[in-house]
Amino acid sequence: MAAEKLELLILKTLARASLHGYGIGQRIEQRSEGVFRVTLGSLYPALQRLERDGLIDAEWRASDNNRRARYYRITPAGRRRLAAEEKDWERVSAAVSRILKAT
Amino acid sequence: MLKKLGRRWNELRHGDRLDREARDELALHLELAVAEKVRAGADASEARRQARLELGDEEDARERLREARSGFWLDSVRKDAAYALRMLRKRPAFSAACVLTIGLGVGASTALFAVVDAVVLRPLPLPEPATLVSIYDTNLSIGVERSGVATGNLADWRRRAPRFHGIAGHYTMGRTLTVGLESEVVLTAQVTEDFFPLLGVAAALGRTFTPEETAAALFNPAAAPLSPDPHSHGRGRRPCPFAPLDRRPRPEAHPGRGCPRQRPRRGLRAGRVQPSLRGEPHRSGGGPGRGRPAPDRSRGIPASGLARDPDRRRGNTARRLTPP
Repeated sequence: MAAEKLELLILKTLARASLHGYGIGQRIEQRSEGVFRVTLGSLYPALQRLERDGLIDAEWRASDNNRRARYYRITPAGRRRLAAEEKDWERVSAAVSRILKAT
Repeated sequence: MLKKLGRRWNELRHGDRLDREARDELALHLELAVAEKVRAGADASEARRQARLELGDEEDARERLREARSGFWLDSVRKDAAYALRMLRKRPAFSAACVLTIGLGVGASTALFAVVDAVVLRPLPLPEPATLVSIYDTNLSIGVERSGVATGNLADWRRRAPRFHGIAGHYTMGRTLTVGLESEVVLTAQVTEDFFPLLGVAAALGRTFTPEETAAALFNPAAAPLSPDPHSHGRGRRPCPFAPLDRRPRPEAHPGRGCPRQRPRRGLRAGRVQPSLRGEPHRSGGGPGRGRPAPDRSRGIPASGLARDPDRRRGNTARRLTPP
C-alpha cells in the first residue's frame, strides 16, 4: 500500500477514537476485512511522519490491560487533511471505477 | 511551523529516549499480537512465530524509525567516529598505515588536480586567450618536428602572415644573477617589443620598451629585451636586471632551464620590465667576456613565436608555419 494511502487510513481510523499502534493496525485490518495487513515497518514510520507533520498527537498512558502504551489521536489539522484527502480519494476512485467499467 | 521545528529539535536532542520508546512500543505491539493468537488457541512459540511473520521484523522497523528521525546522520557520524577512535587505539600501526595511505592519496590527487586545473581547465588570464596560438619552426627533412624560430623566419612570418593580429617572439633561458657575493640562477625571458601589446597586458612594474628604444638598441627582430620570468625559482626575491640585447657575448646560458616554451604562461604578463639605457652594463652572469658566447643573433636565436589568430576562439593548439 502506498504510504499516502496508509496515512489516510490511519487518519480515518484515529478520527473515531484515539488508539495505540496495535489498535490502529487491528482496526485497519478488520475494516478492510483482512485485505490490508499493516506491518510494523510501515505503520510506525507512517505514524512518525503524521506526528511530525502535526496531523496526529501521541501520549504515553496505561492501556486497557494496564500496560504502558503510546496512544495516538488526530489533531484539528489532521481532520482538515483527512477531509481533503477523502474528497480527493473519492474523486480519484470514482474516476478509476468509471474507466474500469467502461472497458 | 514552530511546532514542527520543536518536534525536530526534540528528535535531535532526545534521540536515545525516542529510540527506547520505539523499542517499547514495537515490543508491546508484538506482545499484543502474540497474546491474541494465544487466546485464539495457538501455542505461545507458534503464536510468536506467526506474529513475526505477519508483522515483519521488529528491528527493521526500529531502524526505519531511527533513519527517519532528524539528526540521524549526525548521530551516525558520532557513532562512526567513536568506533574509529576505538579502533585507532586498539591497532595503532594499522591505523597509522591507513592514515598515511589516505593522506598520500589525497595529496597526490590534489596536486594532480591543481596541475590539470592550472594547465588545462583554467583559461589564461589574458584578454581573449582562445585567440592565442604558439607557432614554431619545423624541418621535417632532418626529422625536426618542432624547433625554435630563426630570426629571419620570425621577420618573414610577420610580413607574410597578415591574418594574424601580430606575431611576437619570446625566448626563455636561465641566467646567473650575481649581486655582491651572491649568485643565483634565475629564469628570464627575452621578448620582442610587441610581446606585451600582443598579449594585451601591461607590465606589472614600470613599462615595456618603446619601439624607439628598441631601434636605438640595434634591435633585431628575434633578439629582444630581457625581462625576468616570475616562474623562475628566484621569483619574488629580486627582479632580474636586463638590458636591450646587443651583439656582445652573452652571459652563460643554462639550456636546461631555457628551453623555448610552446605556449605562453600566464606569468609572462607579470614580467617586471624596466627599460634601461643602451650601453648600461648587463649585470647578470659574469658580464661581457665571461661564459660561452651567445649564438650569432644576426642568424637568429631559437625563439618561439606567439601569435593572435582572430579566427580562433577555442583551444590553444600550436600552429605550425612553414618557413618561407
